[in-house]
Amino acid sequence: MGNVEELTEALKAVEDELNLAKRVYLAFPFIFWAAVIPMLYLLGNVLPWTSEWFRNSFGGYGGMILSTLAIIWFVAEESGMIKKVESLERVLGTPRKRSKGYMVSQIAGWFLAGMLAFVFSLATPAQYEFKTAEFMLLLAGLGVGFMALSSLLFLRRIEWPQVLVSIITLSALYPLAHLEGAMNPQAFSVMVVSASFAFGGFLYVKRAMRE
Amino acid sequence: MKVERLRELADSPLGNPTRLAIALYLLSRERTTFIELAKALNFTPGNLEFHLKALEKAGLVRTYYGFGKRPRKFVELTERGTDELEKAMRILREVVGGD
Repeated sequence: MGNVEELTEALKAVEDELNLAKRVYLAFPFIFWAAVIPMLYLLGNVLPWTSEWFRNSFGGYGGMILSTLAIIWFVAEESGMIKKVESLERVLGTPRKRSKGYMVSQIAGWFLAGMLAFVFSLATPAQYEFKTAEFMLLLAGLGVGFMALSSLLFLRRIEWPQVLVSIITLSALYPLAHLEGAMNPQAFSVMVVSASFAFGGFLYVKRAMRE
Repeated sequence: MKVERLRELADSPLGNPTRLAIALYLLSRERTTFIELAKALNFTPGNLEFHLKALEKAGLVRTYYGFGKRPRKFVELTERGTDELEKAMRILREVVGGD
């Protein structure tokens, strides 16, 4: 009897560790973009001024090329993360079937967010810097919001960290409209998106430590 | 019934508790180095090498060398390793009455 109790305790300890690992993996996309977005902004602004090679090679498209490379890097990393989470769920005995509809809705949400952000920012009568700042906040806020909506519809689960990230990012549109030269609008958006994503990552890790 | 299930586990490639611990450690990581694995599980290099060879022979783990300042041996769990781990954990849950 004692052996079964010991085995039960050991099994519980192992499952707790695996659950913790799974939740930390779920925080990955937020932590990734919280770190990469400011880096892209800095490189996109600094490299054309400091590197003649960069300026001559990429002209005005340097920022776009860097962003594309970051997206490719993210997709490669994220596909590995998804596989790891699925493996952990299988071993934990809680395999969650992610339907095709769920996967498609997650990706389609970002395309829809991109289109809406483009249309709204294009319609705003403002300077280029303000429009790109508004585009960034709308893209990040709506994209994460659509991810939360897709989780609610397909998995019947409210992803609170995603909901909060979306609310924080979208609510920054108001102060953006009232900056009045206090700071560069693009730098403001980059800081808001990075901070809200870092907060989302923090919430996932915090939840992992509690449960 | 429980004894039969435990025997089934004992006969599987993860029937050895040391090998089960190695597989569980690798599951939560993308990959790890041989030295990190030995330190984390408190194994001597010789002991770990012996068990890794057995696991690699069964197709449950993959080892390869990566180059940095010094060549490092990396270890990762294979898809087959995850399958076997899933089976082993299911048996253990049944034995303790979880399922």
